[in-house]
Amino acid sequence: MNRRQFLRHMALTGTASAGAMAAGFYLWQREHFVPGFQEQSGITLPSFVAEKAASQADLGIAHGSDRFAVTRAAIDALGGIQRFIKKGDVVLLKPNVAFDRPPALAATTHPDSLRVIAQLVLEAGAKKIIVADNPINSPAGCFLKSGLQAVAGELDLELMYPEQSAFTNLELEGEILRHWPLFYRPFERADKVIGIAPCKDHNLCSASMTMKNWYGLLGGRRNQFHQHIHSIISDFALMVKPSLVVLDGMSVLISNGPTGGRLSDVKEMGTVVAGTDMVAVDSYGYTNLLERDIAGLDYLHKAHERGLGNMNWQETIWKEIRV
Amino acid sequence: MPQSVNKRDFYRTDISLVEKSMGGLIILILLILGIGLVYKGRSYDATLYTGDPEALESTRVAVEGKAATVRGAGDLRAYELAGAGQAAMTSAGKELVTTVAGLSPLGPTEVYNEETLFEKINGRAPAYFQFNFQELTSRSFLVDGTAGDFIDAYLFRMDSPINAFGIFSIERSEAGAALDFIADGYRSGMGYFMRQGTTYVQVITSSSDPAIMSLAESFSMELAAGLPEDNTGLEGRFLLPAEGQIPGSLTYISEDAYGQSALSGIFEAKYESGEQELTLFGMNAPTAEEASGTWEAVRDFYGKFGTLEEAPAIGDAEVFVAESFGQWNIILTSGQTVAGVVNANDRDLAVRFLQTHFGTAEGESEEEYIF
Amino acid sequence: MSCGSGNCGCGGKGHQPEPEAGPESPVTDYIKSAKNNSRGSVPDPRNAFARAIGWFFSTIMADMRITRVRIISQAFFFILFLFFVVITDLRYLKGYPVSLFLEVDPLVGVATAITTGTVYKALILGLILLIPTLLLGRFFCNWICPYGTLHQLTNFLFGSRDEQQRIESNRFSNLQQLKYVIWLAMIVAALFGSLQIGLLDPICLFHRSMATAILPGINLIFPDTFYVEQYFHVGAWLIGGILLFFVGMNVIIPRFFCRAVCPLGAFLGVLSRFSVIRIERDPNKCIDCDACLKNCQGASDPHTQLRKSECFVCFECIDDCPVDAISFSFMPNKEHEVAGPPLPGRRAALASLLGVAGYAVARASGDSDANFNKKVIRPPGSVAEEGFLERCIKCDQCIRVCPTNVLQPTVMEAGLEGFWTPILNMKVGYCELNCTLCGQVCPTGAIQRISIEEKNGRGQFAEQGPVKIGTAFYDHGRCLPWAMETPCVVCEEVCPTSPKAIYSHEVTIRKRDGGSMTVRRPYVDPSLCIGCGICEHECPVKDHAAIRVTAIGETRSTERRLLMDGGDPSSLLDLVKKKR
Repeated sequence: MNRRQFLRHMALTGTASAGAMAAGFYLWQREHFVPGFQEQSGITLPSFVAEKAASQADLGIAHGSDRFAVTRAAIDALGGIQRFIKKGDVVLLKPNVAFDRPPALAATTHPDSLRVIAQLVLEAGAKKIIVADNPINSPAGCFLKSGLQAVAGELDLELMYPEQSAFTNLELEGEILRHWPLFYRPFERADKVIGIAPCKDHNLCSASMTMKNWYGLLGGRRNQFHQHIHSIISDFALMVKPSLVVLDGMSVLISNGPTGGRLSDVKEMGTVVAGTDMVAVDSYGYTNLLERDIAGLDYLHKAHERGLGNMNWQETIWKEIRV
Repeated sequence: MPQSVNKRDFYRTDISLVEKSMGGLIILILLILGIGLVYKGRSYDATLYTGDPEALESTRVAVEGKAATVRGAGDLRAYELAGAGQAAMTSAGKELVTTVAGLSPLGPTEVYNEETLFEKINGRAPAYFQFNFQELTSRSFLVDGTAGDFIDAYLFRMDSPINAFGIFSIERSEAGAALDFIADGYRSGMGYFMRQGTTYVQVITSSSDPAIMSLAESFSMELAAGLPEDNTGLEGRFLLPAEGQIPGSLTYISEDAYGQSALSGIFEAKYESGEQELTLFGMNAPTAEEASGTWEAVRDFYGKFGTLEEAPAIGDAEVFVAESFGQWNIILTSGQTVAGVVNANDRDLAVRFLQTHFGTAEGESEEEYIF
Repeated sequence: MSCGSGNCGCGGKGHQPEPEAGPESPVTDYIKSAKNNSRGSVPDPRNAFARAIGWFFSTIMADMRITRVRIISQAFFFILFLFFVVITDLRYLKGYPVSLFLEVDPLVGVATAITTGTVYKALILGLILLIPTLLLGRFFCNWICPYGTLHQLTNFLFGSRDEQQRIESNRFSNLQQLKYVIWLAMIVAALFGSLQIGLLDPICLFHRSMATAILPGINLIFPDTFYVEQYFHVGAWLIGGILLFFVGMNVIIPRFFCRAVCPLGAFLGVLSRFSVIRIERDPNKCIDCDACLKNCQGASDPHTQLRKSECFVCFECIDDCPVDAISFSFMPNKEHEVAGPPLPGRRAALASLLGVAGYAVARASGDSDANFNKKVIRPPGSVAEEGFLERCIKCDQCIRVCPTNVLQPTVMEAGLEGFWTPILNMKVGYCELNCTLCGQVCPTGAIQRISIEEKNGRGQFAEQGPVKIGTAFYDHGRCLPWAMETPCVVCEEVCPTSPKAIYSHEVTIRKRDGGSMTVRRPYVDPSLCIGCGICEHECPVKDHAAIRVTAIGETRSTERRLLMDGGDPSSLLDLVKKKR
């Protein structure tokens, strides 16, 4: 063995030993922890609320028979889509695609509702539209059967499916909702967020409207939410501060919600409500579209008490238009 | 080293001092290690664990034999056998298929149980739980030759026919048109809804197109035929005649019907009679005694909150007529049956209605009275 | 105290240090001083001890060849191992580091470092073994490993072969590649977060066999030796059978396990390529008699080019060489060795593939994920299931130490990856409230070393609440007061939480014979239930209890919690109160 070989071998052995020592000490975990009780951190969504001039309405209510015209009118009543969308914005549209029901059964956001809002947003110069939801049933089936996939294809909208990697831990000081897997990927690029919700009866929480729509942003074992459904829904108003919400009350699922299944469960109400205050929009929907007494809807009261919105919609600035 | 205890002959006898010293060093290290371990073992923090086997033993003693004080072990076995008798009626995961031409499966058959039903229908699930939901089998079918039209089948299996009927009837739409191939079933604008045996079946279409609806109809017939018929507990429902019944008005009220605790497990339907609407209810009690007991309790109730009037004869049944808050209630009992018209505006119409349907005497009821 | 040879290391009075003893003078000095001490002593326990040491060094050491020192070392570690196994019991445990062998096992340390990115507590001791291995090679296998000692002993006692047969049986065989395949596959699976080394790691295997099969087996034959009450373990026959199989294989192939199966041996073999001191044969002296193979433990070809990766550094070849051609040398000629392990590239690729595929098919079964088994109730302090599979080495130390026998090795409950990992079986035992022994002995932190305060959410941990391992549910069809007109509520009586998680309401029921009776019907408050299972264990419906614990509601996983706000007991309690 020559000197060179010797040195090389010694260096190799020395490096291996030193490397092992260094790695061992670097990775050393000296303390135990209590599994499940570690400090959690997460993401809090930023506010997407647009600036508002004093005279601009909080609530735009439009009646008529044509979904396209009525939806446009409702948004125009707020000052037009330009109030919310600037040129070059990336906009997230959040429909309610919870079930794999056909559109006519009104259990999901109607494709025309998505179509008209997407068109408006594109007209306002948006660079990109993302459509995302985490449905109850299989995402592919829901987007397909609800007819939203067709709209996305037609208008070149980016559909985001709730893949496992798309979730990030949420951080919220909610009444019940604190840490939960949040479908965050759609928000990574979004400048503006618009919620498009159908107006539905709900077996558990009485009504599913614009606030309940954000349920579709969460992952994990959501069936636990039903233990405190009203607290959770009011927490949604804290979790998301959207630029705009649109409540589609053209056809309202008035019974056997949230799934429905019969055309007779659906009532034509010919109304679309757009607004910046979800609580006000939902209180309008509950009293005027589902035609129920607002005293019975706990989550609106909870959200109102926490200052997350105004459930007395008449107190807000509102405009009503008939097309 | 011949003197050492050694069965083996070593060729090597020359042990160098280096070797011996290393050996000594190793033994020294082992010694130190041993001493160190003993030292470490003897000094410890007792609070890490109870450190006191007596503590565990005391728990054991405290609980042991507790159960035995309840009953002898021999008695227990009988109860355990009784418990084992109620084996779960879970059906194996069968494929949901159809022979209807023009439908091809879209995706696999999905099966949901009580724990997972939320995954399919989310917030609607509690409505099904009220009726002891067991299992949902669901599958989508593509309508061949269409642009993505589909038919979804949902088979909700409940624990009993009565509960299947319960969920069927609370979801029932008044607008639904009755079906001729099944007693409990109706057609809605975009689907078929049926109750067969313990199963509540929904067949939902993506469009109200007649061609698709007719496919859905054949599919529904196939599904209904494939399910076993079982009307246990629904006897009361057949007391209510189909003739003149307002579609979709048939419901099951499990307890406290018309605010009366005596009336539980009744069926109710509404009837068109001339210009007026009549509400007819019916129930079957387990025995004739219980039926007449129920009838008496109802009579007492109306006696308290209204006035009892002279009763007309309706077959051989016992009848009372009561007026309460300006409306008429005519209730009869015969054999195990309790039935009647409640909250009618026209007394004579109601009596005539009951006479038409319950007027013919039944032989078996006499036997009951003799007994 | 005299020695008959001038070559001995003891040195009499006036004996001059020999030239070659120069570098070892501290040792000889020590020996001298030990002798001196023993001479000038009066009866004093310490002096007696010193005298014993002196005698040991001067008499035994005089005959001491390195192979005999090795046997002393093997005996020491073998006995130490058995000692630790026996005292892994609440009654004797005290402060003994009973998991020491697992902690110094470098394969455990390295593999868990790969899966978790951390080296848990005492696993850092693995470094102690790693460094000398890098210098000396696989000495662990024949100096320390108790499982290796067991095999050598079996071979010594039962491997009846004549000299020529022994030589033939100790030649290198291609079967020895197998262990590298096993090791590599396990390491590749570890890269994906599936820790499988414990299946075959000798220390884990030996611990597991002792804990679940051997000790309970001995206790069956000789009652009251190890247990107050006989312990039972699910699937003990399989674990014990595997031990017997490997031991029995020695008759066919000497040290079959060590040579062909052992993944720890493979790992140390791979590291041996760096070693600087090894067995060296002098080809000029060698007469090619192959006598060096007679007792070769590793089948490492000392008669030709030494396979460094296979050599156990047992030194038998040195003793057996008739011409002193073999020596233990510092960096001898590289031409005379085969440095790397005998694992061709294709085999290595196959092994990696096996690891990837094994991980993928096992994990794809969903047993640790969507399809998790309700029976997989992990010991208190266990990390979330994914982490558990990254950490648990299936050594079953927790099962050994568990004072109630509730901990049982899984068979398939936790999936293929979780084979032999611990779960609670409430039919056999229950989780003692004031006990965290399983976490104390767990070497890898699969069960974290939580304190009793942390487990029960007391003291400064009151806010975070207790560690829950599951939730109890009633089976009304089997419960005496619910279904059989019989008073019972043993479950309520034994419930250890405060306030009790089980409560009952008095109801008057109508009996079969028409009369009425009053019974208390029990209920579970899920916010208080910690899943300890004493209710299930004490339920008189023994075969399939009327109250059973399932894994749901365990705090270790946020995914598997039952109650939305389960982490906040105070607000939850309020809610529960309101509900009532």
